[in-house]
Amino acid sequence: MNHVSRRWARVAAIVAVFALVIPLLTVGTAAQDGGKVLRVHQPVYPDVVDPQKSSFTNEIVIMALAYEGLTRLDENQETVPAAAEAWEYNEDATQITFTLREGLTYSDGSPLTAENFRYAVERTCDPVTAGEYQSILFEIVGCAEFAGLGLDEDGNPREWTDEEYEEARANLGATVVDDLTLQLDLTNPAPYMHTIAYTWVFYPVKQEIVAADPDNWWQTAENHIGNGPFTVTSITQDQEWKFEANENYWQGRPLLDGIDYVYVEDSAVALEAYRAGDLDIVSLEPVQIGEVQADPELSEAFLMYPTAWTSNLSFNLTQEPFTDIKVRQAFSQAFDRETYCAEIRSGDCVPTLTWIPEGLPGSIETDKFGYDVEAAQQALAESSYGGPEGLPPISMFYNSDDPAATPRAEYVAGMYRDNLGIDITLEPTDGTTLVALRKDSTTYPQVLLVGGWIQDYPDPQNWLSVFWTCDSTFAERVGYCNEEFDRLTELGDTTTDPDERLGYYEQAGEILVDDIPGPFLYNPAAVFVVNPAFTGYATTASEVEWPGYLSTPMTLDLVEE
Amino acid sequence: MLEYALRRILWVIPVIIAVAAVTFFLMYRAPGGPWDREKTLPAATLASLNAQFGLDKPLWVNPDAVRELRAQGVSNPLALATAYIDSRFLNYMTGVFRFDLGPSYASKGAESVQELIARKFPISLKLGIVAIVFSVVVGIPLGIIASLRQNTWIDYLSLGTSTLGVSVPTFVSGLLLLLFLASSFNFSPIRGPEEWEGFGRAYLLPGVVLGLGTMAYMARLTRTSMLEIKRQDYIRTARAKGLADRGVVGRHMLRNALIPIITILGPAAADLVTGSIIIESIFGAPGLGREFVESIAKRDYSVIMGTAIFYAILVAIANVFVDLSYGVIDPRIRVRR
Repeated sequence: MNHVSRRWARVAAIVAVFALVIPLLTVGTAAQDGGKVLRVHQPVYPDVVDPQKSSFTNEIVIMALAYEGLTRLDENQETVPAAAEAWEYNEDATQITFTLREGLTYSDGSPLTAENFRYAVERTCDPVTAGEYQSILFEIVGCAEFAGLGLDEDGNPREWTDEEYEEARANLGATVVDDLTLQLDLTNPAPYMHTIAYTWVFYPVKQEIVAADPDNWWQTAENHIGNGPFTVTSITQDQEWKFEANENYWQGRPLLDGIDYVYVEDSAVALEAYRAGDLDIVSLEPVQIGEVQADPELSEAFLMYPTAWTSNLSFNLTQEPFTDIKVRQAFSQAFDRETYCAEIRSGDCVPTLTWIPEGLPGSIETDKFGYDVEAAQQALAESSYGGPEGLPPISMFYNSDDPAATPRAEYVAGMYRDNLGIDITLEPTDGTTLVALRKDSTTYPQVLLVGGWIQDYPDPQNWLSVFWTCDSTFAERVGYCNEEFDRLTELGDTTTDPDERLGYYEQAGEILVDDIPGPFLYNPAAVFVVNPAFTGYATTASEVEWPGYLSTPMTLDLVEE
Repeated sequence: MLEYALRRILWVIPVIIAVAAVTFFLMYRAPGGPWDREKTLPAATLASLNAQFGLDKPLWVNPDAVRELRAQGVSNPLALATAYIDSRFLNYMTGVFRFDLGPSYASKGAESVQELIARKFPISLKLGIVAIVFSVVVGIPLGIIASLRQNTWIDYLSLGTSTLGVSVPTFVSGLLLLLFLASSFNFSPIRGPEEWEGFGRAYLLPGVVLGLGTMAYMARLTRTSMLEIKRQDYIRTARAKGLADRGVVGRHMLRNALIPIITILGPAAADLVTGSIIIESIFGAPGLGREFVESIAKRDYSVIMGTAIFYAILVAIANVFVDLSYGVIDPRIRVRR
């Protein structure tokens, strides 16, 4: 055309090129802190970090550093003394008395006494707190009544008066005998109460801090005056929680100077940050396992261990054909757990045939109803349906929020088609809808991939009595009820001799295996890359967020070679 | 003109109410609620939580409360009317007009939704500003060059770039760019918390990635629009009467070509500043984008409503601005009366 319009083009081109190049100049590296500070990746920022309200592991992993209960779990998953140096049950285990250590203090040096723990119990049971885990203390006298003030006898909502509130509060069976002695009265024998005393609801938040701002106190770092091995020093919402060693912790000062929780949602980005040296521990998605294991450097840092979590193929036992135990047996024996964990889940789970994971109190060994296609076909033939042709239509629900779930569900459906000749309809459903459906046996999915249980505290009572007894919400909604099982768990729940208790629970566990309420499949694993300089940690099944935060906070260390 | 502007602005109010009502009732149609957990909460805990957050009230109106008051012998019409409208929707809407969007349920009331928006929106807004500036500053010149050099290699390059920009999703371009920079420049993919305060360089990279799609779309639109106008008679006339090229391109071509661009700029701007969950999660920006998506999965009703209304207001206002700006750019569109 002509030269002037060429000038226009040139100006436009220069502007465009500049705009494209300037962002590249922003490249730089993040600053590193001084001292031995462990940088831990956390994928999901917590909603509530308040011991008496929280319920998710990403919340507990914060509080477990800054606070400590009356007891704690050691590297063998055993309950050991913490703030309490000893505890004693009365003869029939309807009362437990904790004796605190002398001279306990909070991180700010102020004294920590039995009253602080009593307040934790009271606040947990308080209907105003309405904490999601308050029912964990319903075996303390008066707790269920206090928490249930908002319900009338028929289970309808009601309003309570101040007098009723004060009365229920006063009736709570948590008594401060003296500064070092806390006594809990129990509604029934509960010889596992000392293990419950490790849980986060017992973390002794300071009453005056909470009272000043009950809903929002926990968002300010200075308000987290705790009794744990570390202290919160700063909170940046959605980004970071920083901790430093607590000089006033009763065991002394931990080896690490500090711990940073760095919130990075995208695990590919977190892995890249590990490569750049910005993180010491990164939790991996199953899809990343292959990439990490193939990398010569990262494979050295790879760490995996099974967690206190059992997944099963969950059946609605009130719906055909799963009313028939032979059909359930066929489904259990036609499921190739090894291949499923190794190939389909990239090795992030450990196959199991029982309910309580290996290594936890009350776990049993069995080889019943494992993968055996011929036996599965025979079981189906022996069922009242006579074979695959006689079965009613079967639909399998799964949580479609997880993009990896669809190929897994397709694999399982394919496995049943190949092994048993059954055609299963897949029902992808979003997570919250699925939870709503699961509330009741009338809407509970016919088959669910997967159901299961994540442990609250390592006692067989939590695995068996809470989940599978006839009147528990969880057994009710799948329609499971076995009176012999109930009898044995009841014996276990009320017997005070530890070995005798375990005997009853093990028998109950065998019944569960024989009944096949829903084939037990696997224990999901915790999967990480961990800086080789990181030492002194145990990998217990309770530590789902990163290795060592519950059992070994004192010995964690960063040792440069 | 003033009256027209005023009328357009007032129209925003009924639009917002309609958006709020539709969102509200759709939201409650979805199964589940904010307290649904893998491990079902006991009835006592649920009752306390529902009472605390007003979820024990009926959805639309509350005739039961009126009946109860009547039974107690209350006949004061004001008291009865107050009881009648004591419902989740009407309580919420009266709150909205007092600029109270309610507590967020996920945090158990630790933060109100207006505080949440006030804290997170500025970050999304800053990202959006970078994205808009980038898309305008790169997209429009790219389109101009392409149109002035139609069917040359510059045109093809610009077309190729913009096709790529439109078709490559941000989670691919964002992650690729980040991984490339990290591996070849030792660039840390994690931004320190303090970097999001102020308006620093932390915003540049995510902002640019966020703006890529819009930039490409603008480039294509500018090119098409310029090419169409280039062939108009009045351009030929302008050239024929010996007008300088600068005048032809700048005054006659660009100004007319800008109209369709302005039309999309409004909604595009509203879209960009309200945040993108993908960009925010890849670059770790603590913006409002992820609240849009996560609140729905969590059934965090007040956050769903708050963000939806906020988004609706932004889009509505952006559209008003677009309508008004037509008049400034093109006198023919200027509305009389």
